[in-house]
Amino acid sequence: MIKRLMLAAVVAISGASVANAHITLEQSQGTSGKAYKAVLRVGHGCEGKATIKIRVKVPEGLLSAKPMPKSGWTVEKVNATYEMSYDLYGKPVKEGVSEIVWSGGSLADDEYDEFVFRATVAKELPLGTRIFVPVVQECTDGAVERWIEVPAAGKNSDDYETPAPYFEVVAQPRS
Amino acid sequence: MWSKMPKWANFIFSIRAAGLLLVLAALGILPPAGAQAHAVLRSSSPASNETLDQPPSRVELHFNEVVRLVSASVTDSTGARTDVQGDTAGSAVVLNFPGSIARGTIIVSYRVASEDGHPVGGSVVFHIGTYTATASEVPQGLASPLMIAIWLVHAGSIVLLAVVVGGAFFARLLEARTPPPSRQDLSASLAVLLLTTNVYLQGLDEIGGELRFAGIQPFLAASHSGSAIAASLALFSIVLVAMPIKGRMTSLAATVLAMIAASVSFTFTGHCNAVEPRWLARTCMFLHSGVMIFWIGSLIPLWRVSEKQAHTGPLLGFSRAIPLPFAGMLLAGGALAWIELPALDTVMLSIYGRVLLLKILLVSLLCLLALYNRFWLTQPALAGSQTAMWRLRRSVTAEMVLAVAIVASASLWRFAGPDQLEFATAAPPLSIHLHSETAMAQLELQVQSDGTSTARVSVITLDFETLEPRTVLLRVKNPRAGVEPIKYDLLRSPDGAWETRGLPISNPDGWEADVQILIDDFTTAHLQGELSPTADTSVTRRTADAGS
Repeated sequence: MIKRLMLAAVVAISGASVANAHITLEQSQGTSGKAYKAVLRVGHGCEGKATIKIRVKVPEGLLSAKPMPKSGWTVEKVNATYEMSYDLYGKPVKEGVSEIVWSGGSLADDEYDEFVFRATVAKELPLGTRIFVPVVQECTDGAVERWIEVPAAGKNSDDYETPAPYFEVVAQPRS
Repeated sequence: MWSKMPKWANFIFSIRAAGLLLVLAALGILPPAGAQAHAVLRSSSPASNETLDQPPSRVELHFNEVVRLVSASVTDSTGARTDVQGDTAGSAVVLNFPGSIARGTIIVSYRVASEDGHPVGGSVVFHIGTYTATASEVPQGLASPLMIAIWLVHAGSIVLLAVVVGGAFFARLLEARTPPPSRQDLSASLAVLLLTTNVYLQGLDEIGGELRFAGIQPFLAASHSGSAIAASLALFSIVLVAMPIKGRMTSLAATVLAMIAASVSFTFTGHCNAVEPRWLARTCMFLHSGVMIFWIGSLIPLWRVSEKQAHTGPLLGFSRAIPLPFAGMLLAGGALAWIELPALDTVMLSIYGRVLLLKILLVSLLCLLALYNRFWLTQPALAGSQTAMWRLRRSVTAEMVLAVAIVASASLWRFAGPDQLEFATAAPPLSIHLHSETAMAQLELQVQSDGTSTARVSVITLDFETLEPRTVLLRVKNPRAGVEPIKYDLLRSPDGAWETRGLPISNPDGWEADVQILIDDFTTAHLQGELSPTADTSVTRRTADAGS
């Protein structure tokens, strides 16, 4: 019975997500102190033009980010120093991948694809924080869509035309 | 195990399961499942900021995905808002454009829902008519060749109409020696030519454009407006006086009819055509222009009769006849100015007011001359004084110059109506300070005489240092007036500020601005605020305090 319910719930959630036209993250929650698999879903190009580059800003608090290689695309990593030092499995980390770029491929406007990276959610991030992952989508003819809007206080992503995808930091389940 | 449970317990469990399923499904739809789809306007017809000659019959909106029209409205340049209906076919929405709409800047606001039911609003701004080509540029000294041509031809045709029709009336009424027929024909032909050119230029201005030959199109455009009726009446009056009619009474009747036709022609053009109460404005205009025609028309014959002693009859007649109509002309003119100009303290701020002051000055000079003629020169001239005759001649010449100057100054009203007053008074730019957590901006809004605004944005950091944003976007909306956000890409000006023009804002009340700056590739800042002038609100508040 529980299994059936869970299955139904999954269907309901994924069904509701089909209509998403923005670049969004598949997982809406990431566990504090654990690895988070960020699956960026790209549902369309820039106003009809094919996508040729995806640039992702790895936000503060996502540690040791690793992109998943993608056939037909070149992946690039940019390192930078973090704003603060984080504790990762007992070791302090101060720098890491801050930007991931997939380029060289081509994704038509009427096609769908996913771009994946994995990173650890820093324990220092307060529970309930929404982590925004800004994405710049570059297309042919110099067209650009910037999914980088981070809502100001009192606003939410729906108030913006091009919101940044996000997930929420949740506590580890008690075992 | 379940089979051992009573049936009612099983039933309750099913209800709980269904409830849980509903809650889960709801969670799947609500955030944080991710941002939902937003429809984006890809193109529209008419396009944004396009200028059209005629109102469109429909407005097409093309979105990036399938949408459903929630609501739409059209706001015209007077601020009147009309809700409009439309049809949706896939990602296109076709709105029915209202039939009667004021010319000028139009805002079409829409709200559409995309597949997921999330509504998105936006606006498209375009212009009907050539508002930029009519009036706004002349006051700034940017007179185009077309404007100058319209002004010259307009003033010239009025003067010639008055000379031909008024002159004939003077001659037949006071039995003066009629001017040689050849010259009468010449001035009549010239008047016809000027009137026709006037209508042509008027039409050229209406279809929008520069001084050029545009075939028959300008005539067709002008034929829909009052200027065609005015020109027809004026031509009719000229034809009437140019006809060789025998018999004193018949010819006098024809000239009176011509005078009436010519005077009526003035009531079909100009600003008196649009002000209320219309009957009063038109009556005043009729009287004002009628006397003006008679007075200007009499100047040449008077000049001629003051040449020789033998023809003093008309001078005596004119001298006796003119005071009453002249006073009437001044009264009617004063009434017109009073009707059209609402507040005296703002006279100097508008082009209309300045032209009015110039005209009053010229008319005052004219009145002084007229008084001098009437009370100092006429009697001695009639008595046979050569000096008085000579002075009268000089004085009449001066009157002719003044007459042309008065007509020329009044013709400037063609470019500056009294309705421009409200834009002229808004001359100081509106300055609004905006700030967010990352940046500050100074937004300056300058209302132009055509009723649209230009916007200038200077961006600085919170530490008052210069910020070099990658791009700056301005969104303006007016929720109270039902205007959905209108988006403008600001362009960088040489002095480092970001600018755009053509905002459909003549009165900042109720408008809200959102300046979106792209600081770097991954960071934007939104600076938001209201445009309503703080000075005005403080004044209102002070008045309210004083009252209480």
